Amino acid sequence: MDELARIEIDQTHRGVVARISGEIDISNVGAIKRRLTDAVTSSAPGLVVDISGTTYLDSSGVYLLFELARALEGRQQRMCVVAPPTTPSTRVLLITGFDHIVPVTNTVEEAIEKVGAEAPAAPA
Amino acid sequence: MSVDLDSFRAGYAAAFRSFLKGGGETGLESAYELGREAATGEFSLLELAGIHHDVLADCLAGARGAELERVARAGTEFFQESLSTFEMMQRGFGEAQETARLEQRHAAQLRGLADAALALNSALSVNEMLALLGERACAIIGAARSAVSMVAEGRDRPRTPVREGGRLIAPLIDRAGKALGSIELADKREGDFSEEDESILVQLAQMASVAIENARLYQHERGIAVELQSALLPKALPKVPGVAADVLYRAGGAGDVGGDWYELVPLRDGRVGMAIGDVVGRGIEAASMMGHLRMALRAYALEGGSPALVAGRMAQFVRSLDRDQMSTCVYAVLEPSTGELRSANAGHPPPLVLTGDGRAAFLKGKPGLPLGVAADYEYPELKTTLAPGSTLLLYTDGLVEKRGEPLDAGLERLQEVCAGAPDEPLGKLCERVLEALVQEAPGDDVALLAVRVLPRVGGPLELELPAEPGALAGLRRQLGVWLTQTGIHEEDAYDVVLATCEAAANAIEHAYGPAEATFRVTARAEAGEVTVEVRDRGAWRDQRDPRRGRGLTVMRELMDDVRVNSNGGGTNVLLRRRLREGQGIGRAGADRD
Repeated sequence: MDELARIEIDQTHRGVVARISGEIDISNVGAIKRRLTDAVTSSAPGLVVDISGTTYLDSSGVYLLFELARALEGRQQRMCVVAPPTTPSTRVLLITGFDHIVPVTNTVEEAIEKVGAEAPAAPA
Repeated sequence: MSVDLDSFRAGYAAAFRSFLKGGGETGLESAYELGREAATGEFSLLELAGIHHDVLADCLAGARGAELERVARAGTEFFQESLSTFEMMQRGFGEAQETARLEQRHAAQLRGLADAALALNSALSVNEMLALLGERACAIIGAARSAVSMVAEGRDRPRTPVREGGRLIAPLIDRAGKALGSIELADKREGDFSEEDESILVQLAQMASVAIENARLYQHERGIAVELQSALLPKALPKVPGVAADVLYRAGGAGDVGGDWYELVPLRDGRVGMAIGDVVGRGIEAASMMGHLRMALRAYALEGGSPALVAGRMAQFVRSLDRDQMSTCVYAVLEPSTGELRSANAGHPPPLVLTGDGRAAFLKGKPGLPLGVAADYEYPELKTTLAPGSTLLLYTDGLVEKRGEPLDAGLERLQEVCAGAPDEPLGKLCERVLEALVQEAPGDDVALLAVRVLPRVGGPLELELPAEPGALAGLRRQLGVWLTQTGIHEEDAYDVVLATCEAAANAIEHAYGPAEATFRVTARAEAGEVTVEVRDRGAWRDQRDPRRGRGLTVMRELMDDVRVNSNGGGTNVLLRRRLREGQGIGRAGADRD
């Protein structure tokens, strides 16, 4: 993609885990959105975005996460963001009230729990 | 004339030992003589080689480091000499004979063996030795495959060689007779493994065993010393308002650890004490001594004494330890707000000052006596002033000392390398200096401590950047560096960077259509606050864009004051952030307490 950020994607049976390390700003936010959208197939229970290794995240990045969560919701899939308090990027998530809209956890394990546990029941 | 094997062995050992002591040409002559004696005594090549390797193993046992390599090298030379005489004599006696032909092949193998001995003893680690052992054994004996295996301590292994079914195995046994492991060869390229092959492999295995045992012992000792040393050195330099500091420590590659040490102590009144020192000697002794000295210096420094006083106390301290270890150090105290520097030198190479105009000059003045030489001695104290932006470089002699070269030459090189780069970040400066002055594997330890007096009030940062998304990353770096220089708290710096980049992103995304547009960022640090102005020449258009609104929210949350002014000429965003108490802007720390 570009040099600013790196994304590692882990397809597990309990959901897709995307680890983003590096920096997210308006220069790479579009490319990151495409990578993440492509990674989540319709059969996946949901998406965990781990930004504990993200050293910089601006409001365009927050908006990207919000848009992703909304798109997944439309497909009956859940999203959860991993952002422990020690991560610098967590501050901007709190400032923008993002954590009121999309669940934010400290660890990937908790996030996977959430994505799985809150997965909607199979259609009747 | 006939000599028996035992007296030949004794003669060989004596001749080799005298060669080791520096026999030179005469020493080699005796090797030549011995080769001739072996041939006339009708010893076989095997016997000659066996004797040589017994003698060599004896000499290698107990040798360490550079000595090890020297002995191995001498062994190769000595053996080659006796071997070539032996070969010449053999050829003369019966060139046509089949045995001679075989022995000549054997002689080539023995040469390989001698080379392998050298390589094994020059290897830097046990793993490297094991790899070498397999590789050389294959080459010398002409086998396609080799396997070297080591056993866990105490486990038993065959102690005698095995030669059967296309395999050849020789044990690796240490001096105490314990099994270390074994080397196995398989698939000989021509014919079957012979008795000669077996004896060659056994000899190679013997040599390897000595080398491995030595290396293990050495690694163990070195491991303790390295651990001790790193436990005794500061984990990280403390942050001191008004100065930037960095340190680089490189352990000597070949030998034991040395006793280089350094210390940076923030003093109560905003001054900072810094020291570098070197304990003469190496190994665990030197490392532990270094720990004592560092702690003593820290204690004396915290008492607030002048550099001359602290140096005097250190000298008394060293005398009181009653250890026969000389040591040198420099202790200096800097007042960051005025740049006043006082220093005392106990037999150490002179510190170097790099000034803002790119010049590099050593602190003048004769050094005082090294520590531990005299109990009552008054150290001379040096006073000078470092202008803002100047850097004081403290270092140990490993950086400037080269064997067979006067110290002055090293000092001159250091001065040259440091000149002309006044703004270089300190970490980079230390790396660059070390790389330029010290070869890849330094013999001695090297420590470098660099301390820079920061400008008291950061001058404004002014940037003009292209209005494109790619410019943001560069803006973050440059603003980040500038903020660090002002001494601002790390978390506050992050906030300022984030808010500024939000404003800049607006300028980029919303202000412009056509290309070739730019925007300006000006940052100032004064009177307890940081202000950043982001200016473009367009107007923010779509007020309803959700992203823009979010950017403003972020700016307002992070900053104490945010003002946006838009008119026909462009948009101005003014961000203001007050600093926490006691931050570095203004008088750097000196007014605290």
